[in-house]
Amino acid sequence: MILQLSLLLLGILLRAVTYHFGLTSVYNQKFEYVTPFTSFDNLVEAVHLMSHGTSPYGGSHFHLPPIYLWLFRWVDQDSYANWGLRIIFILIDLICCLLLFLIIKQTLGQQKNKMLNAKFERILPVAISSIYFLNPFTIASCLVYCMGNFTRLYILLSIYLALNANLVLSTFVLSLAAYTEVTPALLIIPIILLCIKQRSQLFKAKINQNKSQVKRTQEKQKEEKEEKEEKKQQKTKQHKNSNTFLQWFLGIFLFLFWWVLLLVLSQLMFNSKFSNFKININDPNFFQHFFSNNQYFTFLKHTYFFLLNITDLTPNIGLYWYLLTETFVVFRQFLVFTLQFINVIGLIPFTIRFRSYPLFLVAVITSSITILKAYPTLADFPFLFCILVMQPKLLEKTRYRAFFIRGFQVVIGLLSPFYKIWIQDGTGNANYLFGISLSFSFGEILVLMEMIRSAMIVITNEKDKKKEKNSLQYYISTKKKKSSQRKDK
Amino acid sequence: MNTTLKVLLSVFFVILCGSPIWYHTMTVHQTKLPTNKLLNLSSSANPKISIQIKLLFDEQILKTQNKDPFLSKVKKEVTKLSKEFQQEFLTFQINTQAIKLKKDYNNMNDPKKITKFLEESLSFHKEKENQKEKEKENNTEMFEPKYTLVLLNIPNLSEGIYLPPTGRLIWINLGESTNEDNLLNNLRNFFPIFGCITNTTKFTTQTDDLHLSFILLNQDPRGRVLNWEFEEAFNYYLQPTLEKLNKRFSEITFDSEMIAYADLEHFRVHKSNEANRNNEKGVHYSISKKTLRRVIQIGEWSSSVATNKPVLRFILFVPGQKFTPLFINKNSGKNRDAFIVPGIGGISIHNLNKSETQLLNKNDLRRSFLVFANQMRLFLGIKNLEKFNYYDPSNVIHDIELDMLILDTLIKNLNEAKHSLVSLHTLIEELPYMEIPEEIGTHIQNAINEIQFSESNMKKKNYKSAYFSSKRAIEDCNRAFFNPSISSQLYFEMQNRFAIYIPIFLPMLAPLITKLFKQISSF
Repeated sequence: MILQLSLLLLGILLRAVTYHFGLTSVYNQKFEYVTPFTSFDNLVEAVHLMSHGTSPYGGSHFHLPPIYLWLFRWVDQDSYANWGLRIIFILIDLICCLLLFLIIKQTLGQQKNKMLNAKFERILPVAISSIYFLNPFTIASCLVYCMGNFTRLYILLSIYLALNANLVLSTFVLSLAAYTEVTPALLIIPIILLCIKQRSQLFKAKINQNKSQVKRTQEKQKEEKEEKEEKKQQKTKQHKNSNTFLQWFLGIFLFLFWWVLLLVLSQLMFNSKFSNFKININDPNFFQHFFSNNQYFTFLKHTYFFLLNITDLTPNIGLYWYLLTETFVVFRQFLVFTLQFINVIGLIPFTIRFRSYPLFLVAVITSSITILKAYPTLADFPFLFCILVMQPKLLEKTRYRAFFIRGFQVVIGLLSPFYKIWIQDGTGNANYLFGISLSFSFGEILVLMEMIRSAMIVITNEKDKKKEKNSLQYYISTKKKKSSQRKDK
Repeated sequence: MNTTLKVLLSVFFVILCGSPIWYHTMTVHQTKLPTNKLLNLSSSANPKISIQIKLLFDEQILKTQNKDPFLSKVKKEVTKLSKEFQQEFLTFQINTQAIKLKKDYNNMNDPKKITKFLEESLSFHKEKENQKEKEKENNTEMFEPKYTLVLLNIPNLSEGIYLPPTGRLIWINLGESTNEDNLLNNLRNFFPIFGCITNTTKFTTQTDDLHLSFILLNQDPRGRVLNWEFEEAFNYYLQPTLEKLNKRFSEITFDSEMIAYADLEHFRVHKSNEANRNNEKGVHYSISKKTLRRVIQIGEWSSSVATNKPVLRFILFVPGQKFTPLFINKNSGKNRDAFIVPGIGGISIHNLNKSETQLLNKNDLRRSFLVFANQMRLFLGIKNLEKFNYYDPSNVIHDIELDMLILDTLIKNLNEAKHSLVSLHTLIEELPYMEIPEEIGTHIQNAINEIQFSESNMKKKNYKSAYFSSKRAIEDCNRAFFNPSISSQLYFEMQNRFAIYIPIFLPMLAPLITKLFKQISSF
């Protein structure tokens, strides 16, 4: 407890100190943390345009949905030194850290995920949450008021709520993530699956509790127990079959409902001439506001379409800017579609493979979304790592850990110099930066593959053990029957 | 069905679901072109242009002849002549008529007065007014190739063809002999004017704009820094010609410049004691004709002109004292002092006389500027005919020649536009993977419409409108043909597409396919 608190305080202190020494202006120039999508400068500019009655999307720099304009309508050029804003971003990081801690602790609390080393189990949640909270990349992203922190918060919160089988709230929070950046919408299937799994586990736990209170004679108890077990299995199966479909339907419906509600709210806000954001439901012209000037969700063009079409090709640590700069116009549409479609291709196969481990499925899908982002930042790297380690039991068989650690050190260390050589010194070219970005993305993909491989090995080992156990139990039960029959004779 | 098989099938299922969108991104957008119209146009021949010639005989000439047989014979001969000299796109309609002129013009000596008299007598002013009314009605400038050829008998004036500077009235003075042979000879000298446009032009005539650059090139300014009264000379000698050429070109701009220390490295200058062009004996210098062929780019002496329009350079070359007088030695032995470099411009050599001052005035520049005007004729492809005088500044290019130039350009524009469209159509047919944006379709449709409009105007004899339509047709064809999307780099065939797709799909699909086969074979 003391360790936890001290680490939290250390993280907060580091952030406060870096804010105080004005390192924001230094890190604001770094391409690793600031992208066209996540830049806080763009938000300030958009708010400024809005205050002068111009469309905030007019400058073609701002690409977040309108609700963020409402949330940050008070910011201006001097807000960088505003402690209120700093506290908001520190709080976001703090909540993420706490959520990670709670998720891992809850996961380790489940019987399936029990690890051999109990001490390791106690330290692991603190360690992983601290890795996230004290990570220099996370601190730097907090320093530059990276708007991507909001998406990370929503995803972690959604996972936590799903772990607690709260379908309504988890879909709402996930819809916030999808509303901000479109791609988290792919997490709806794993999140619903997680909710369903958690609910069924809670239901099983209740049945087990009821069962332990019943007292019978040994033989009759055994027989009745066997009968009851069979009945219980049938009941749980029925419960599953009837409720599963309903829960799926409810989950998807709720997610879409929240998302559409957010879009409608945005349309109302955006159409009230971007000033004041006053929505008066009693106003007789309420619906006119919605449909006036034929402005039907025009902000979607600057937000979702921008993200999906990868319009801005400013160099970042991702891969798409280079590929799309070099491609012929004829092939652009095809390439954009393929790059975005890769995320979708993996969704169903992973779901089929890891349906019994929905938390790991969430981790895999989140990782693939993070790696294949159009505008990634270095802050996504610790997030990716922490997300993958949410179910540590599955990662016992990973290899080449030292290789990955050293590799990432080298690659991340070279990102900034290669950018400088190209952009500032003019001695290099885009291939330098692309080469190192490619190595970085390749490393992330290797890590993901290695973790999937490890999970597959652990899962198959567990299946084999179960089969053995089941076959052993069958042998023992048949032997006991025969012996009882002999006794009767 | 085990989990592995389910996973594999789900991957292929998702790829299958995404295939329509993938196919859509792969399809090349080709706008539908009006192929039938295009092919019909290209196969159709251009309407012929009808030239109407009114051949008017003064009654005095017919006094010595039998009127009707004489007229019919002349008409036959003239028809023969017109067929001999006409171009492919022209037809002639010749009307012969005897007229009685009111005044006794035989005592007139001045061709200008005679022209004025004829215009008044034949009520040309009324015709001009009628034409202006027609132009107002149709809201376009009308142009009809109608010519009036008057045969006169003026003993006091020299025999020959008189082409007034403006207008379509031409008169031939038969002089004292009004016999049939003399008449036919004169007509034989006149009709070649309708075939004056050559096919081998020295300069592109398809352009709409033109820039003329006049350079005074002083080879050796040591001791004599030259200057010239360019503006006065230009206004007097060249302006009338350029005003006429404004009917053909939309914009003609010009500039003048003086450059010193030009070198003669390209030329081998020979010293000669033979008689020069003026038959004067004495030392002179000459450049052989062979050497002239090496002069590819007189722009090396060039000017600081910077323009996107096609440029014609006219250089007045003043050789240094060391090489004066300088001539161009032709094989025939005659010396000349001007030559042209096809497509670039013309040079006229001006040998400074001792009596001439360092300021070249209008009179000094007369010969050179008239040479430039005549060189312009060559560049436009207008032939020089033997019996005509091209050294009158107001009449370097006659209206008939200008009419023929415009008509020739009209026909060439139509032919070129049709040819471009057919070539474009063939190119598109051969390259099914070439993207054809809507913009190109619009230009092609516009070009087809303009060609059809032009041809219909030609049938209505509204040649000016037809000419402007043909210009617009050419512009649209060029815009379609030279559109950036039709670029050789973008002709992606199937092989190129596979080269793009394989690196993306193969690494992903290869292990999946092999695993799928293994699973199926294990069944």
